[in-house]
Amino acid sequence: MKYTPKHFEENVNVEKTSPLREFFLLLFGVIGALIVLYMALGMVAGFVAARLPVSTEERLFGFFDEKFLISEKKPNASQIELQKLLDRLTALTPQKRYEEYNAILICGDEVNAAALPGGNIIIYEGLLKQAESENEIALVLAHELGHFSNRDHLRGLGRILALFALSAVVTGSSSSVTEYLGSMTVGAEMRFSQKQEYAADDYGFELVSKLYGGSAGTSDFFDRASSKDSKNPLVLFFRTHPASKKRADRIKKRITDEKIPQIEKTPAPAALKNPDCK
Amino acid sequence: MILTNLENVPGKKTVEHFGLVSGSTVRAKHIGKDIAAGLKNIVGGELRGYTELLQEARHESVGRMMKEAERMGANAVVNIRFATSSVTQGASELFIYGTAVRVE
Amino acid sequence: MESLINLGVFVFLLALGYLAGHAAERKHYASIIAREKETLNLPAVTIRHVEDEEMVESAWLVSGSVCVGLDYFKMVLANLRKIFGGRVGAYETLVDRARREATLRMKKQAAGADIVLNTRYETSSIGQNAGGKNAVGAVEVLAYGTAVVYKK
Repeated sequence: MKYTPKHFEENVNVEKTSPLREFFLLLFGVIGALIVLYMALGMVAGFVAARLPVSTEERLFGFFDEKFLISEKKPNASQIELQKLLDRLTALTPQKRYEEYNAILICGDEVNAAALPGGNIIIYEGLLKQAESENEIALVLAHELGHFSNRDHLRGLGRILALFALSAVVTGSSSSVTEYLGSMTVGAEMRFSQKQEYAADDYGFELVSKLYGGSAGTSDFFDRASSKDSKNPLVLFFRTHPASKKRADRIKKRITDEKIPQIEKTPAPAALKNPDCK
Repeated sequence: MILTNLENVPGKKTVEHFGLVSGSTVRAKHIGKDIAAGLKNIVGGELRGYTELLQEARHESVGRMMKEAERMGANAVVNIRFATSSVTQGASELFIYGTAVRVE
Repeated sequence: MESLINLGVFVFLLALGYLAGHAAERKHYASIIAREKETLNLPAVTIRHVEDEEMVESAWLVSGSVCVGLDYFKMVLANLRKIFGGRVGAYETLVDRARREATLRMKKQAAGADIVLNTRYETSSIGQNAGGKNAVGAVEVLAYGTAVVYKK
């Protein structure tokens, strides 16, 4: 049996492809697929949120509320004043979703507020310090009540849960990617879409006008908050509530169009002007 | 191309050989099939996704080996051996090798 | 901040893995091809019998083994590929290099022989959690056969 040596440089066992090209194709594929999946889950979360009965919501998030929120609520003058203001607003709400609404003062210079499940509104000390009148605080509270009324707070949370679930499946629950996403997105996801903000603005504005019988400085608040001056701490509030300039213009247009009377501002009670969160 | 796992091609005379030829491939199934296989593992039975994976891999590596033998000028590959290994979870490697020969 | 550092480390390892891994692979292939040409006259076959037993002067067992590891870039690439399925190119070069290197090492032991008969390969993945999710990603190949010298 004769042996004929043959050698070929070309290799049949290895596909000739550029690994870099493959890498980027796959990477974009993964990112694209995740975005699609996330959006789909977000839609499902929104769908469920809008139909979730309040009793179920309270059962789902009750533990969280008791553990983190109620313990934050200290019986001091500022807290009581804040709750009183909220109660005055909720007394005017057309339909109550929750039996009771809680306003919780949180220590910290952040100028922010948020609507959490179970009818809880957290409001930062920093925001109270920035407010120039009671009307402005009422507007913030009423705005958050608007989010409750539209169930926005559950949609956001639904998306966060969806994102965590996705990330945990893809990268493992304790991976740094999940942590990274967590730290990045919890803040971002508490933001609502422009449409949701407009709706909450309208709701809040109507409620405050009803309470005081006029616009009383509410447009001032929007003006100050939407000023381009990044040193203005109020801008931060609007940073988590996007598209501020447009929103300010919308409210001002409503004030002129609907001829809402400009009335005297109500000064904020001392306990709210100099909040005590100890 | 005649493929056998015998020493020769029965009924034919081997006149020339070209040394070893091999074909190999590493393939994976998409994540959905992995999950399905994981679920199927609870009740046992054939994991169709992975059977398919092995069949595809075998088909491809045999094809590669034949391509190699063809360009050497062989018309048969004898004493073929298959070897499988899992280089990593979820991916299967199939390696096939034999001796490229010319028979008459 | 910590997560940013993690991301930075990841990208750095990826780039390092790609550059170093790519260079090492090209060098290895160049060396494999050069040595294959040198040993071209010593065939390794899977056939088990010699045509004429009288012809054989001596025979001995030869083997060659190698363990080749995966670079970080290819590991990530393979993991991405596993999501979509299909051919895992990153591992193909790895096993191909390992097989050819093992064959060459076997042939080195068979220096002076005329042919290597009954060549067989064994492949295994070794390393931490071999085959597992966080496996190192290395492949070990053992090639063995019987070297035969014919009477002149």
